[in-house]
Amino acid sequence: MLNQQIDLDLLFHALADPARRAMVERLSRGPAPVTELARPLPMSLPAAMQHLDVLETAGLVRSEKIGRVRTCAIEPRAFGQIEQWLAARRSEWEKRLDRLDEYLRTLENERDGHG
Amino acid sequence: MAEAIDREETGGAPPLKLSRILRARRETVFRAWSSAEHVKRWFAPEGCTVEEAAVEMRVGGRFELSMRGPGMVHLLRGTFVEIVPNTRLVLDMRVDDGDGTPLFRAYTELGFADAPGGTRLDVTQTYTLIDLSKAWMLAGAPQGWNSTLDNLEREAAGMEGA
Repeated sequence: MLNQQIDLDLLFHALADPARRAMVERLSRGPAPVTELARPLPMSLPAAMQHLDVLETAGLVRSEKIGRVRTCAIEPRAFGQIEQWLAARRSEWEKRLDRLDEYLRTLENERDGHG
Repeated sequence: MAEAIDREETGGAPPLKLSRILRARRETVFRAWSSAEHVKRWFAPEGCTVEEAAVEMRVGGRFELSMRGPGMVHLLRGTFVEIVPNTRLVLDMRVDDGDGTPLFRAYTELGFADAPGGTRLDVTQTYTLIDLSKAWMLAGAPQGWNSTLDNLEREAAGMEGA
């Protein structure tokens, strides 16, 4: 579906940056406030927040502001899309190996026929 | 283009793995990978055809295919990284769309082993995603940063287990 394709593009873009991957890795261990996500990164808080924006737009991360603290958490549904992509690669290989198996029988028959 | 994927970089996570018993002798299975003539006959996904192929089975040799299906053209550009006759093949592949925009890299390891009824082919494919979105690339997204799926797959599995 076209929608899914667009989402996947955003996902892959969002994950194509080491700072954002570091944030996702941290969040995979549990929710965290923005300041905690930004602390280990060699960048300003506003720069870190821009990265979080990209992650949120891609649907990988959601955030909630309670009082003065914005807390971020991972969005598991987005990872489902990535798993779907992997499942598509697996299915492609399964079909390819079906074709290979058929072709191999042709090869073996030729060989037996000529040898 | 053919530097090996750094295991540290992929977090040592398990890549895509498949095994299949093929009803043919080991040397025949290996031979099916050895020339464009053979590869053309089976490599394209269902509904696609291989239009052109170049296969040079030597280390550093090309493994290149153009595949056409309904509304799509995929270009696979790969090189042979390792060749152990009838035993093991390693191919570093990159898949581009019809405009030459890189989609993903697939570091592909193939193991050939005798098995009851034929040959067991083990396929291990480690993906590195390359920015898929032309729009983002045109908007100046940093190129050259790759993201491996493996870390994510592991994390997603971890989250599901949590």
